[in-house]
Amino acid sequence: MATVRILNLVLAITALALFVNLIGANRFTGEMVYSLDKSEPRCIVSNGDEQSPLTDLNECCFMLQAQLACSPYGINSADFACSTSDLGLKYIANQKTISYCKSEGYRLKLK
Amino acid sequence: MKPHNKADFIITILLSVLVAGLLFANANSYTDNSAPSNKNIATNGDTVYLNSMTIEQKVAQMLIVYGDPDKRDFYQQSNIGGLFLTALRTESDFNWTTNFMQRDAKIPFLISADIEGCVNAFQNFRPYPFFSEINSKNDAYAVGKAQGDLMAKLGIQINFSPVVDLKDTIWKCRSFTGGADEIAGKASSYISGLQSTGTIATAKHYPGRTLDVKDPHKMTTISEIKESDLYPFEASKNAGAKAVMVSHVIASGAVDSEGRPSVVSRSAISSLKKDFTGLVITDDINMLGLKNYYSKTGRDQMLIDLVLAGNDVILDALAGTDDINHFIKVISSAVRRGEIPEKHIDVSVTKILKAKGLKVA
Repeated sequence: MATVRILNLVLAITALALFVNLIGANRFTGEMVYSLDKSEPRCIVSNGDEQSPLTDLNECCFMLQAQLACSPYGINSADFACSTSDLGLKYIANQKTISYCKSEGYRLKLK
Repeated sequence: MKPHNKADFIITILLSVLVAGLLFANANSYTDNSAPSNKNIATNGDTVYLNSMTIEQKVAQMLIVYGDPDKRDFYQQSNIGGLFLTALRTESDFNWTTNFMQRDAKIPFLISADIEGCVNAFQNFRPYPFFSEINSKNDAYAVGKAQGDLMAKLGIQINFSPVVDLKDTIWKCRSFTGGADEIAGKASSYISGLQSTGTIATAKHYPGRTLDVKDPHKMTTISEIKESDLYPFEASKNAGAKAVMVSHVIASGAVDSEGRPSVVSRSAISSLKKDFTGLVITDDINMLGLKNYYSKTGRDQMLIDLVLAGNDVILDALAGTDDINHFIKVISSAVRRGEIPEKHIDVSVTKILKAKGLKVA
């Protein structure tokens, strides 16, 4: 009896792993976090002292994907700053935005 | 058999069926038999015989997708038209990537990147002045030439630059400064400098007014286009720009997109093509300005409309293998149904192949 239950557990874990693999691990975790996070997505273009919101989230994801890397940013490191060089523009996105981009399938280079 | 034993047994069977189904689905996701093959395309040196290409192979040429080195074989087998590269750490990383991607390709990819000024995929090792900092036409020419030289050296054939929108209220650095005349002059000089190196320039984002702060509650932007907005595009065309990128703005006024995003508007793109025979390229098709417009009719209709409107190249920076196969399938089916004339596809593919420096027979 115990053998059948262990077999069922193994099968269930295998099914979950195959499902995650099928839709992509990044997308899966992105969708999970995005749906659980109740905050508003936020994306800011920072050009020196000037900051402007980028309200089209997919345009934001496109720009984040185009950067060399994204690192934790801010006091509690809840946000990410993505850039290609210290001399250029910086895109600041909160966790909700990062989760959204991952759920959409954008390839972010998170540190 | 006890009842709970029976229940465990049924669960085992159900889970086994589920695992088998998922194994099958996973296997199929890696070997999609509907993906077109690049085989049997007739070439002779740098000449491509268009008649030897299937509809699927021609449709695939119209796509530029994010260039993921892990998917090179798929891109080559699918006969994808071009790749979009994002920031890399060094020049040698770019060199390695373009060489690796092009190696053994039956038809070479049109490799693209964004190097404007403040949006610069090479920023880590080669910063350039922001467009907002360029003060003269001579400086604009010099920047264009320097960027073109670097791109040519690294195997990148097309730059999605310059931005010729009159205003940039979001980044505040992507547009040239000055009035319409001054912007048109700087853009023309930049294009001449860039294209003197053999690198293709792309004037964007037609018909203008794309880089304005949007109402966060309305992703679809509606803009009144004035003649002055079009002036830098006219100047860019006169300067010989070989490509123009079309935006998702819903335009009225000097260009009327008839209530649709410009990129899917035959009317807007016809206005552009009146005196322009170069490549018409979509802005990235995943942006919400476009996606939201098709929230009811669906993505397939959006793909068909993008082609019907007159775009030669569809930029999909998000496309995975399934999306690429789906695009090819949707457009090829529309061609077979007669919804999109095959001649329409042939005209675009001929332009794309010529932009790659190939001859078409």
